[in-house]
Amino acid sequence: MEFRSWPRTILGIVFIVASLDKIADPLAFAEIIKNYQILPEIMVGPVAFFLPWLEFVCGAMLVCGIFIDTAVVILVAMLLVFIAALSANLYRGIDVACGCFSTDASSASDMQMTVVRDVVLLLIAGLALKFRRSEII
Amino acid sequence: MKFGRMTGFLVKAILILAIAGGLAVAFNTARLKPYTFAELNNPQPPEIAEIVTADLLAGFASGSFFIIDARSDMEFSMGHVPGAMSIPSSLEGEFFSAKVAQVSRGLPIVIYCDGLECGKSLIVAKRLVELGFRSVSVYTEGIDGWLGAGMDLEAQ
Repeated sequence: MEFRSWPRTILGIVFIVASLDKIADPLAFAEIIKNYQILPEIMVGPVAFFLPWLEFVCGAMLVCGIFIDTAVVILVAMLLVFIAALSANLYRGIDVACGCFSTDASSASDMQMTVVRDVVLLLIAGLALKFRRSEII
Repeated sequence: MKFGRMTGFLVKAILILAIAGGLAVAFNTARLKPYTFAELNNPQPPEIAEIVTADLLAGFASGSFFIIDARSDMEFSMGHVPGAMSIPSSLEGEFFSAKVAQVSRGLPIVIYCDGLECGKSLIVAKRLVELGFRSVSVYTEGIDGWLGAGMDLEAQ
């Protein structure tokens, strides 16, 4: 594998792995979204239903090298929303499970570290865009 | 040129969204019990279980519970279940958040107060569940039940 394709592959795998637990248990993910106290109730269900699959599809596209630019831009937009949501809860002092890789609401969560991790993923996304090759499709 | 690139981006974005949406619907339809938006919009928090003295003693002996005392600071200092952490039910705002930050998310949580007539443990339990803690139990017999079982208290 070429070095240039590492960032997108890593980013893709991270998002695929992150999506699996949420795809398996959307109800638990909905509960975590609700705990964030940011979205109106009517949005909780659609987001819990759809977001994990968007993560999965974008991740798969990156791993396969299809629609790289578009998939990265969508993931960057998601990461920015995640960072904003986490920062808002950090500011408000609301300590909830992140819901990033697991739907276990009681799983250990360090919001500051999660924000840092998302920023690192943003940097990887930047590298993926910088190193992108011609899209296959 | 730029318009063409933007159009191409939008077409690909719509395609990705459509694939994700299609997969989400297909996977949900294939479930034994498909979820509805109404169900997902208002997920019910996990129930708060009640445990009895025998359960608490077993968990206490093996160190498999994170025990919380929901009574006041003064009551806690006079005597509490050994190893318990104090989170008074009256605690609010950042004081409550600071305490909650010290609660282990890796162990089932058991909360107690004085005894059967005391509602403080249930108040703290509900607040923890609202914050996303899933395995939260109330030891309804409280300090009375603990002492009744011949167990000692730890004073601060």
